[in-house]
Amino acid sequence: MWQSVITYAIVAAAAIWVAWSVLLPRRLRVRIGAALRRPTAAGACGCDKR
Amino acid sequence: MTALDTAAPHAFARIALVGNPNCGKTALFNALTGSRQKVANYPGVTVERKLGNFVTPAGRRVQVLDLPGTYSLRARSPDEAITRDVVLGRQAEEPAPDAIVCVADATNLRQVLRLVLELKQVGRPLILAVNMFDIARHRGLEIDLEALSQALAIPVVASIAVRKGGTEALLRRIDTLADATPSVVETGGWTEPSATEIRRAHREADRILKLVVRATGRPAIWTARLDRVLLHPVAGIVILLAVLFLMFQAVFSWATPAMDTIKDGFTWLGAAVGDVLPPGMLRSLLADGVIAGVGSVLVFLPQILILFLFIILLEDFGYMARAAFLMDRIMGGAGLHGRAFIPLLSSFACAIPGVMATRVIENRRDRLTTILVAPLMTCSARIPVYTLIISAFVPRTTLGGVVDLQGLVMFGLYATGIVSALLIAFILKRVLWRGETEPFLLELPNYKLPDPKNVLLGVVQRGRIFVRRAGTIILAMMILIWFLSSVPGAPAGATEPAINYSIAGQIGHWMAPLLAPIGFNWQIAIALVPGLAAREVAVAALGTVYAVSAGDGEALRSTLASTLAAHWSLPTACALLAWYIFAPQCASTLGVVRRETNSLRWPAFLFVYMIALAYAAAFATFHVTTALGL
Repeated sequence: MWQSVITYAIVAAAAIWVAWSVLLPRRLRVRIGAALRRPTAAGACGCDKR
Repeated sequence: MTALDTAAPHAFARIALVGNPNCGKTALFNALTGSRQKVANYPGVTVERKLGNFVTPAGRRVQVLDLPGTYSLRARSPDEAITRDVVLGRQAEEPAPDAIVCVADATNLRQVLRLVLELKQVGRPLILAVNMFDIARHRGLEIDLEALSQALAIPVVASIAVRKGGTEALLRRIDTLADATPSVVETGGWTEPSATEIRRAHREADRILKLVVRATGRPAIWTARLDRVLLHPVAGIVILLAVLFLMFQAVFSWATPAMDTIKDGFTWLGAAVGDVLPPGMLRSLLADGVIAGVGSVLVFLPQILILFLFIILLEDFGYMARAAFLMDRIMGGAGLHGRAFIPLLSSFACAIPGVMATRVIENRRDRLTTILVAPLMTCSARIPVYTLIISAFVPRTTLGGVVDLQGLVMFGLYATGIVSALLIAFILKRVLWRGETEPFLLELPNYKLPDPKNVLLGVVQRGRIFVRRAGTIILAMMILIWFLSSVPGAPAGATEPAINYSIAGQIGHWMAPLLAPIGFNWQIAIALVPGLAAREVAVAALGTVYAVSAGDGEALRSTLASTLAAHWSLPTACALLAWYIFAPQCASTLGVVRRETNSLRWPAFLFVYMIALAYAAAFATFHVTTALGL
């Protein structure tokens, strides 16, 4: 039972990640990110690409 | 025309690095910011602007922009237009730089002086950083920086971007200039120069050069000597083919011990999971989904690293620009512009930077043709697919005791990709879009001993990208594939394997009739769908699907290659290889084509023509190999 619960949680997390990172268009992702006031992506060195 | 720019409250917060291609701007950017952007010994590596930060000795926090190389502000290609627009403050959503650092190759000052004269017209504070100063001195070039500064009426400093402390003079000069610059800077308007003005600038550059370069440097003797052989019309091509051939031989022969170690590591990990967890869903997910799936991709890491070690060494040495020169006649025959070589070369790593690198091509049709054929170059994501099938179906023998057969097949697959790209380019440029191919001008860099730090960083970066993909997209996809392959379970009294009743099994069986004519079974059909996200996902998906099919723990006892050898015919394997040469199985590539062409039409065209080619090639391969009785 406990194995099933953990497995379904992992599968749900993977599905959300794929939907967000792969399926959702980048423009929409940026818009949602901006709406949530998420900082723009930047490398560890502080540089970004445009 | 003059404009009055009001500087930001924190004046002098933003500088732009401008200069000729291959003068070391990105190396300087990396040295200033501690960043690790790609540098290579050929022009056209940087095609987009990059932003970083550094702090000057006086504690001033400065943003620095690395811009694509250009010979003039009269931009002729999209990458040069980025530089012009940023420098002139015309780039949307991009504040104009407070100052410009013009980077010069000390061994080739003449080219940059004309650019400096143009930049002076812009009117922003300007510093000339004479880079690669050590190489110029080694060649006997004595550059009088003081005289150069007086002649140009701007500050001039020497820099050695690849040496520790080689940017100190520049940093100090930035502070001095910032202190001396008023918060409001009057910028002059730049207008495209006429032919007379260009000639005048040429004369002025020559005059300054005579004033400041005190001794005639020794020519790069080794570069001339090597070029006599490496650029020979016949010997040069033979050497190029030999270099590529050796590269693929090494990819197979050198990687085996490391691959075996990784394979053993995953086998041990799978067994450990089996020992720790009792039978159940989580154990199956970890063993059959995560370890069998992700492990089947990660095992190819050594081959990726060896391939990129060769590519980066050749880039740093300065050989890749020669390869472009050698290939120009062949590429020109197919209608490709000589400048297409660098984008096509970049596509061997990944089609995305390759498509972006087409910005160096001025003519729109030439650029579009290159974009449409770049995904046919064998990207690193195809390596796991190719090597899996080769190791499963091609015996590990040598021909004549010298040539590794597996390496030879790999070389053939790469060659097929290149030849296909040339053929498609020929059809597009010579049949559909008839027009003249513009002449190709490429500045050949001097040969340099590869910088070990740069080589190591480049290889580590490629390895990190591969591992990150395995740990993110491939891992997430494998968890979903495992779920779809396991749910719903087999009904009571079922006689077939459980996966046949699962969602993935049903999708695979539904797709199977479409793919049967090209010899693909339903397991391959399942793998092809998530493979659209990234090609190597298909390998991981095959690992998961066969692991789930085999039952708990079985996958740990046999490798994926041996499983495929037992389940597939040779014609099926050959057909899948043919499919992967052409299949447009990379959503990110289609996305970047859409962005670069600013149209949905071209990615749609790319997808349709590549999928049609993939199906036709797989169909022909399957039926020919079957008819031959293989």
